[in-house]
Amino acid sequence: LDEQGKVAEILAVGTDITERRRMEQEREIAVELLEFINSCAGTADLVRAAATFFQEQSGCEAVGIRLKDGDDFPYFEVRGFPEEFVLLENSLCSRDAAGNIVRDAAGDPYIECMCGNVILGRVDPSKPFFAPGGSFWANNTTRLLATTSDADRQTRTRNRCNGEGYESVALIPLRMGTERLGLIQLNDRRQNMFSKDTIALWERLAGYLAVALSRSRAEDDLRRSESEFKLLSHTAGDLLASEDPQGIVNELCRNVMSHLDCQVFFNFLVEEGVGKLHLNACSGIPEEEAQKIEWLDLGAAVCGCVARDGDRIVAEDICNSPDTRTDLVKSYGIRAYACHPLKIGARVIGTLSFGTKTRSSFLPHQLAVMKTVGDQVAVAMERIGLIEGLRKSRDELELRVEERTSELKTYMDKLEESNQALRDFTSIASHDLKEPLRKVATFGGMLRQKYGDSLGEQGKGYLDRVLDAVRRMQSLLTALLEYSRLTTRADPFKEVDLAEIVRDVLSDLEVNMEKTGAEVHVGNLPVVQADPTQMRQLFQNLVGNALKFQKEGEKPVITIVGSSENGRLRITVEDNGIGFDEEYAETIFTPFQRLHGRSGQYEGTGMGLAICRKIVERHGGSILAKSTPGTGSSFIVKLPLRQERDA
Amino acid sequence: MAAEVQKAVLMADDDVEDCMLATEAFAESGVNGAIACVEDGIELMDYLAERRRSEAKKLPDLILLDLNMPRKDGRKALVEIKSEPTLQHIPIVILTTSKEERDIALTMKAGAVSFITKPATFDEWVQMMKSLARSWLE
Repeated sequence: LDEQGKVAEILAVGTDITERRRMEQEREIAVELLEFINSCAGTADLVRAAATFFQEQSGCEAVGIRLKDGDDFPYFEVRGFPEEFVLLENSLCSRDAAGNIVRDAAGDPYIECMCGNVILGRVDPSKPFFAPGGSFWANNTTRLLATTSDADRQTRTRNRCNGEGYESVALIPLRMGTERLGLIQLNDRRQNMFSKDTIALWERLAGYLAVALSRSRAEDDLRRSESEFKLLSHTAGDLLASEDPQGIVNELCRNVMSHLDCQVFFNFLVEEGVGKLHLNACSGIPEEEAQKIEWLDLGAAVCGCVARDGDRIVAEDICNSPDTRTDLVKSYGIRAYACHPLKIGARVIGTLSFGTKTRSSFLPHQLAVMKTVGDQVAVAMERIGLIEGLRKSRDELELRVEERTSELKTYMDKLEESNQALRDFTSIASHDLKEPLRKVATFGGMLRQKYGDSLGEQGKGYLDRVLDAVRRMQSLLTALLEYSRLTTRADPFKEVDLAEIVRDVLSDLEVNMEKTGAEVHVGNLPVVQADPTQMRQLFQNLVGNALKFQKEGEKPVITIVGSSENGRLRITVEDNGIGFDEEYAETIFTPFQRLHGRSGQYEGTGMGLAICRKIVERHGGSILAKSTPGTGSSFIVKLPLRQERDA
Repeated sequence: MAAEVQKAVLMADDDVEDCMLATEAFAESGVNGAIACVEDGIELMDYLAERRRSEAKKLPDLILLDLNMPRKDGRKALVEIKSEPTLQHIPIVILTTSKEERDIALTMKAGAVSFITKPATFDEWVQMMKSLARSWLE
C-alpha cells in the first residue's frame, strides 16, 4: 500500500503466496509419507506403500523400486511396467560369457545402465540431467539419447526405457549416508513429467524413505538371522536324533526351501562302485521329471560336476546363462541354482542343491544356510555310516566268534573223544593187559608150589625170574594207570589240611619208619584248595622216596616245612639220603626215568616223581629238585593256596 | 558125610583159566560138591531155565558171577535172576577183576551178596573157596 492507502505492489505478494502454497503442499506430502512410514511393518509393506505413494504423487504410469539384494539391485516392487521389461531389466549386474558377474579390481560388481549410475553415485552434476541430490531425470529421452554420448551419460546405457517408449524418466537414489539401498524409478510415456523442483521434492522424500528402509532392513536382517539360527538348530537336532538321515532329508529340505524362498531342491547320493548319482530326495519338479533323473552320471549337469569335483557351483541368472550344465535346471524354470557337495573329509558322498524360480541370484546368507544344511546332512550321514560300520563289524565279530566257538567246540569234542580213547586204553590196560599177567603169576605160582621140587634148583631159579618179571610188569602197569588217571579220574578241588594229609601219610609209612629208625620233622602246614587224594599221593611219594633213598646204616632224617607268600605255598621235603647228581634234576621227573638199577634196595617203577610233577602241575604249581650226591636231596613244591577254577 | 547132599556151585565166566583155577581150588578146598561153568550171561540164563524145568536136576546153591562177559554181561544177568521169583533166592557172589566202586555199589544194590576181586595166587583161590563155602553152602 502507498501513502494514500492504494495498492502499490501486489505481484510480489502473489508469488509469495504461490511459494508458500507449494511449501505447504510439500509439507503435507511429506507428512503423508512419514505417516505411512510409521504405520508400515516390515520392508515389503513399506516398499509396497511407497510405490503406491510415489505413483500417486508423481502421476507417472510406471513406478519401480529397486533394492539391494546381494550384489545386485533388482526390482523389489513394480507398478505399471510391462512384464517382459521387468524381466529383462531386473538385474543390473553385467555377466561374462560364462554367466559370472563382472567385477572391478576391488571385487565390487559392475552395476549397469543409468540405474547403476544413480545407485553408485556415478553422476556428473555439471550435466543438466543429473540433479544435485544425485538423481537422474529426463523429460524427453529420445532427445537426450540423440544429443548425448555414452561418455556424457557416464555409462553404456541399455536404452530400454526409451525403447519401451518412456520419454519421462526419473531415477531417485535411496541412500542412507554411504549405504546404497537402491532407487525409485518413475517412468511415463508422456514428455515433461518432471521439473527441478519436483525432482528435489522426490529426493527429499526418498531421503525419508531411505531412513525407514535402512531401519526395516536391519530389522529384517535380525529377524532373518534369528530364524536361520532356529532353522539350522532344528535341522541339526532332527538330523542328530534321526536313525535315518537319508529318510528325513526330504522333510528337512522342504523347510529350508521355504525359508530360502526356493521352490526346488535335489539331494543326490553317490552310488559307490557304479560311478553314478542316485536321487535320494527332491521337491519342486513333477514326478515324471524326477524319474528321468533318478540316476545321474558323474560329470553330468550341475550336480554331476559338483559330485565329481567336490566344489560348490552357484549358477545365477540362468535364463541368460550360456552354461550348458544348467540346461537341465533351466528347463524346470529355475533362475538361480546352488549345488553344495556333501563331504565326509575329502570324500564326496552326494550333493544338496536348491533352486529358485523367483530370483536370479542368491544372497550370501542364503548360500551360507545351504552350505550349513549340507554340512549337517553330511555329518549325519557320516554318523549313521559309522554306526552302520560299527554294527557291521560287530556282526562280523559275532560271526567270527561263533565260528571260532564252533571250531573250538569241534576241537573240544575231538579232545573229549581222544580223552575217552585214553580212558578206554587205561581200561584195556587195567583189564586186558593185567589179566594175562595175573594168569602167568597164578599158574607160575602153582607150578612152583606143586612141581617145584621136580624142576631142580636151576629150573626153580628160571621160574623165579619169570615170576619176578611178572611182578615188575604188574607194578609198572599199576603205576602207568595211576599216572594216566591223575587227569582222567581227578576229584574236584576242595579245602585240604596239608598237616592232616602229612600225618596220615606218616602213619601209613610207620612200619617202614620204625624199621629204619627214621626221624621226621614236620613244620606248620596250611589249608589249601586241592584234590585231597592227589595231595596224599604227592606226599606219599616224596616221603616214600626220602625213606627209600637212604645211606645204609645211617638214620634217615626228613624235614617237611611250608611257608606261604603272595597267595602261594612253598613246601620243602628234605632228606639226608644218598642224593643225586644235579645233572639229573630235571630228568628224574620224566615217566619211567630211573637213576638206579633194578637189583638192589632202590628198585622202583620210575613213575613216582613223574606222578608228583603231574599232580603239582594240575594244581597250577611247580616242583623242582636240588641235591648234592652223598649229602641229601630236597624237593621244593610250590602251590597256589586258592584255585581260581575247578580243574 | 555120604549122606550129605552135594553142593552145586555155578560159575559164569568167559575166562577158561579162571574156571579151571576155580574148579581146582574148589577141589582143593575139600568142600563136598561140584562146580560147573558157563561162558556168558545167555548160557547162564539157559542153564538156569533148563534146571528149573527139570525135576531131576536141582538149581545151583551158589552162583559166582563175572561182570565182563560177551553177549550178556554179569550186570544184566544179575538183574534178570533177581527179578525172577523162582531164581531170586540163589545167593550170587560177584567174582571179577574190576575194582570199580561204581560196579561194587551197583551190584550190591542189585542183590549180590558179595563182591570179590579175583585172587592173584592159587593159595588165595583155595582160601576164597573155603570162605565162600562157610558163608553160603553150610
